[in-house]
Amino acid sequence: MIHVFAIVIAAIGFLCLASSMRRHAGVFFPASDLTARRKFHLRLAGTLVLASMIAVNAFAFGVVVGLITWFGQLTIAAAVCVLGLQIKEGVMKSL
Amino acid sequence: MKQSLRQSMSVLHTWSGLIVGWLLFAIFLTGTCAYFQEEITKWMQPELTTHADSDLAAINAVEYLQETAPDAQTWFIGLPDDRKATTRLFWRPGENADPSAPTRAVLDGQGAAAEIRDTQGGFFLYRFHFDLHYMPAILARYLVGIAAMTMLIAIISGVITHKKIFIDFFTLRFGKGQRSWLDAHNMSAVFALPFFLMITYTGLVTLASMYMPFAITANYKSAGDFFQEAFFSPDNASPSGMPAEMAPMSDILRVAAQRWDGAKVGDIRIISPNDENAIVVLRRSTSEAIGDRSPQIILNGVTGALIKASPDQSAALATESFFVGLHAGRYADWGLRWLYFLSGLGGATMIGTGLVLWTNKRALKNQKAGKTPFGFWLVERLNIATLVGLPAGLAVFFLANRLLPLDMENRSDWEINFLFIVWAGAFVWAAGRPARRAWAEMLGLSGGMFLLVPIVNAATTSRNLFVSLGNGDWVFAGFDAAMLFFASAFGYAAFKCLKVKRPAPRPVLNKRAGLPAE
Repeated sequence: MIHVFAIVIAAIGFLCLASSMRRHAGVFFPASDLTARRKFHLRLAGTLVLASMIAVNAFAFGVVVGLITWFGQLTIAAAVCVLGLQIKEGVMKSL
Repeated sequence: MKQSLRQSMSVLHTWSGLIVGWLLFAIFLTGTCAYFQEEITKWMQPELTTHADSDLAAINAVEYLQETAPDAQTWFIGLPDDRKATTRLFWRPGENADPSAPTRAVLDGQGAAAEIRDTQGGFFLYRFHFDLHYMPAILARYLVGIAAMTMLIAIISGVITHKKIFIDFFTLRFGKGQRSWLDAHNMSAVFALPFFLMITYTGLVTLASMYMPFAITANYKSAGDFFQEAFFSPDNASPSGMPAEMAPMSDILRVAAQRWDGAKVGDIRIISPNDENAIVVLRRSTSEAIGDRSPQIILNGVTGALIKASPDQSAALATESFFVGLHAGRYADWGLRWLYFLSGLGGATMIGTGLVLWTNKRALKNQKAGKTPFGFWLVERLNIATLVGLPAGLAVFFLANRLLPLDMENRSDWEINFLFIVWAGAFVWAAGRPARRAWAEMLGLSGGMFLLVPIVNAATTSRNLFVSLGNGDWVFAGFDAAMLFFASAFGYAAFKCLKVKRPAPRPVLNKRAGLPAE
């Protein structure tokens, strides 16, 4: 269960990072609203969320296995994030 | 003309990936399946329903060996655990033994004799990913090593080539032809990049002493001396010729439990059983820690007294043990095991999309030129045969497990033979058909084969998907569900393949008139 939780949180972290990029920002808010300040905050939030998952995994599985697990969770979370972006873009195009 | 570093790396990436791509795909796919080798073996031995008890299995296995091979030189007992359902026995027969007599047996999870179908199960997939098949294992390991080293080159050159690694990180565009394949290739490569680097490098480490034997040959009389020193084994295990009664296995297991704070024993080796000099070597289960070189203890087989325990590993050996363990993932709980499996599938996807990309890039040019070079034709057919034919072969491997007669001679060999017959058949089929049709037909066939697996399982055993779900039998339910998932994925891909039309080549403009050239 902890893996599902960690993947969901990491996917949110990746979504923060994606929304800080001009190419994907339009999926979340008008691309013109992506100010330098907002970009910085989104990047910081995304990085902190992803980094915090190391601590969660280290607490649950120990430092070594936790770090290995974290890499695996990031892989799946990134794929989930990209699929989420695809679905959202598809929905927006159909509207 | 002088090329930039990135251009040079691009060429290196393309050709290093292509030349060993099909072999790498097979290694990655079977190696990925091997993360669930025990679960696959369980599914392929549906007769077994007993709960595993490793201590009871050890005691009963020794009783079985006393009856079956009391004069053997060595007994080897692989114990069951939470994942392994069977007790696996091997023995080196005595000098006067009948050479045609069996030297191995499979007992149930409690060490009792059981009627189990002859199958190699998931163990075949595990062995195939580094020993291949139908060839000497040494040759195969060199081939696999060359492929792994080439993969390392392809990964590093790919990272240098991919100039927009961060900008394109979340980019996946569907329905854009070659661009979509490139996105899929980049995405699958970048997301699990740490895993690919780790799995390729540690894979090489597992066979490092074979690929780089120079330090051993320079410092030891023989490789055997090195392994004796590095991997701990009894000093003198030659039989005295004086018969003696063995110490009870329960006492021996108690010593191990005390020594390892209750950790499970993984396997037992008994040298010179029923002899005054009998020695018992116990190895801790590899699921207890990441390192694959588990600690061992050596006991007197007659008195049960501890003779010696493996010393603390040197830094070099501990590092090697960690790398091998990291590669094999035997320590992983079910969640991490799935992460290993999904990352491995990502690797197969990366290799597959890279191979398809090679043909896609050249297809339009060939279409314009109006001719298909033999190299292109061969790559396209090998792509179809390997990327779709091998998965179809795997599905047939599972089907053969259920459909071949139980009393068939060399049954387990024929399960494997069917895999390769289908794989080779896929190439023959692809060679005789237009590529696009062959893709769709083979994808459809693969989907159909995977769909048949749970259906045939339901028809030939009492453990169908619904019964398994009802019983909370997650191994059988998970396996059947995975087969249905792959059936859907291949079916969908076949459907898309039939629908997509290859773009017509752009007309070449007559520059002076601005009209299409004749």
